[in-house]
Amino acid sequence: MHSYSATDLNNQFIQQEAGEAFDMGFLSKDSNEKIKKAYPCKLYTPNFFIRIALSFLCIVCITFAAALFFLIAYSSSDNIITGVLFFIFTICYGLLEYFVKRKKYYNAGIDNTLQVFTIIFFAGIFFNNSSNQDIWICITILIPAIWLCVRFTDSFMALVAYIAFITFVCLLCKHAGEIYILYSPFIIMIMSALLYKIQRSLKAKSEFSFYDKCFNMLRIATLSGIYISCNVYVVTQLSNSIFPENIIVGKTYFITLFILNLIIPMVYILYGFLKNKIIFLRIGFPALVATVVTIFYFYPFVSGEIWFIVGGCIMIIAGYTGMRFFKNNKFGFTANSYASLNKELISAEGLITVQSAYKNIPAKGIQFGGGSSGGAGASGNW
Amino acid sequence: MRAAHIQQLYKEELITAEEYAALKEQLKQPVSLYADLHTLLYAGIILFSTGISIIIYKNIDSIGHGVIVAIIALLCISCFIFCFKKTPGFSANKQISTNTFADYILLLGCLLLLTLTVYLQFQFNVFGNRLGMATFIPMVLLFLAAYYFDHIGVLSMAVTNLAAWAGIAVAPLNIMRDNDFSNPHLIYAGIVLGVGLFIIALLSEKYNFKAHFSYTYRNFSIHLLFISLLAGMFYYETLYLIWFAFILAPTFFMWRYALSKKSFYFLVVTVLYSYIAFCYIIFRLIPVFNNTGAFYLYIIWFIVSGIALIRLLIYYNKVLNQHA
Repeated sequence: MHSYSATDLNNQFIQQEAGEAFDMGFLSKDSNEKIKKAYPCKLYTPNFFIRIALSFLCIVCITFAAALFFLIAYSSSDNIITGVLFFIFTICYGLLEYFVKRKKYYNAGIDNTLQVFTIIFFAGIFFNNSSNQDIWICITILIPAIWLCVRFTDSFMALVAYIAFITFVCLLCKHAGEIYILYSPFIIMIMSALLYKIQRSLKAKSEFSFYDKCFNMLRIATLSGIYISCNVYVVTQLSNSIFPENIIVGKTYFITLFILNLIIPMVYILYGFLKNKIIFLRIGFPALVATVVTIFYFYPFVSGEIWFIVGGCIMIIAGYTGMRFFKNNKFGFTANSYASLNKELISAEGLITVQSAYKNIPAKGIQFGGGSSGGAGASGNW
Repeated sequence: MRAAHIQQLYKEELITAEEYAALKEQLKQPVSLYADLHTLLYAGIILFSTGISIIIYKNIDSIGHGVIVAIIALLCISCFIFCFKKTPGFSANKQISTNTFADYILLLGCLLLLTLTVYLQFQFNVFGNRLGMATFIPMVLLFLAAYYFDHIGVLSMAVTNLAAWAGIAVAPLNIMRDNDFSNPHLIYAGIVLGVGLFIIALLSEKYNFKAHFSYTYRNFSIHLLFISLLAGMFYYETLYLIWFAFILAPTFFMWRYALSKKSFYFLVVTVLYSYIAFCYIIFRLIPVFNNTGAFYLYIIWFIVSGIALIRLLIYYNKVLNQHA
């Protein structure tokens, strides 16, 4: 069903694995070269930075091409938007198939951008002013996203499809009535859990091995989704902004969500440690931090800066203890690295430090503790 | 690598017996928490120093100034003492970090040093009206720390302080927002600083003195130089062609550097900045208003130039990969 040659995908996967083993020092340069020759791959995947630039330039080209088509169409008729959208959608999808089939683009930046625009223009065709417009948009995003994920083994499309599906369920609840709105967090949790189970069983099948990245993405999305769907802050914010009837959050409901907010990260962390599954730890720990922040949001018993300092201290101590504890490999984990960080990543770390340390260059005359204008903070932009 | 693939490669005699054994052994290796623990430490330090800064800002009038200064100074000195004890010391070459925790403590020490300097200046007016000293002294200390402890993060802070000393904000999200590029002084300062950093990068490599720092210097240099030159081109409306000629010089040097070092990053950055300059020239050359034809020409220019650049980047990606 996918657009690529199975041999190419397989060879690229082996080349990637060999490259990683070479970086870790398990393979010699000679062996790595031999593997590359024995498993040639015709797929075109450029360097990461080139990919970003190609995406950016592709966005420029498509945006201006679409503008040109609209201008030409408008000069002949006023009521032709759907036709133009369909025309541009056809061109985008046609180009996508052409680039993948003929030029063998695989995560080249151009194909990824074309996929996004294909979805945008496809959803645009069905955009109307009916009362169920929101559901329509979700469906018209969900269907092409699933197709593009299957056809081009694209993990980002798997994520788009998941988000569209969850939004679709949310909107169904909204249209179904008050009781469904009230239980929508639990419905979404169940849906995410079901999707997690489905991806796990599909991932185990060898015929779907090319969709490994898609399943990984779906796994991250569903695990995050299970937590986010019951996060008290998210639920209350969504109920205020999306659902016009508002979820009537009672005390029991509130407490149930808070308990889930604590239990889910704990379960993730425990399961991650017991089964040596790093992905559960990587979602479990941030989820736990999110729970702490949520508690602070609803019960701000100390000021934010104290939280920063205490949180920072805990993180430093946890990081240091972790480094010491896992130094000599414990419970199937190690604090050692198998590969060195590249210099772009090291520079990125430096730039984040700079960004956090130098938010503003102090100008002459500024007074510490004051605002952007005089009046002891009496103005609006203090 | 998957077990089946290891077996397959060994059967096809693409890997040696030793490599086969090593790869098999690697399958049993524990899961690495290296990146996770580093992220945790890093986030903790950023959070802690931010918390300290906010607490000072908000409680400036209620806490005794002497107490605050003493606490920050004590923490800062403790961090540096810890680093002096735990790190091997100065070397002109790149040092392999033996104590990762010390690297992060150094970062914390440097962040606290900045907080302390700013606090001393604003509360006690230590440097009087010579505001430059308030950025110059931490800059010198940060450069010393970066070179002594061989820390790229601290070097980035030192370069940012150097730019602040010249009156320019070079933090990634502030470079466009906080700089008034309609001020010619800032444009020239940016150009001088950009060229200066580029020269330091060249000298570091030539004399093999902390040669691995050259990437950081060059990274700041390229953005600062191109943004300042582009600002100059936009500011001096009548002299835009001369400024465009100035832009061509760093484009040429950076292009050659990117190709010689096989750096995709510098290649992309150079191409995109030059593209902006080219687009501006085209905008100036095609008459703008009251002309529908010109509007169509702009759109066609973006489509055609976009496709041309895509082809150029695809070509050079192949060239760099072939010579990698």
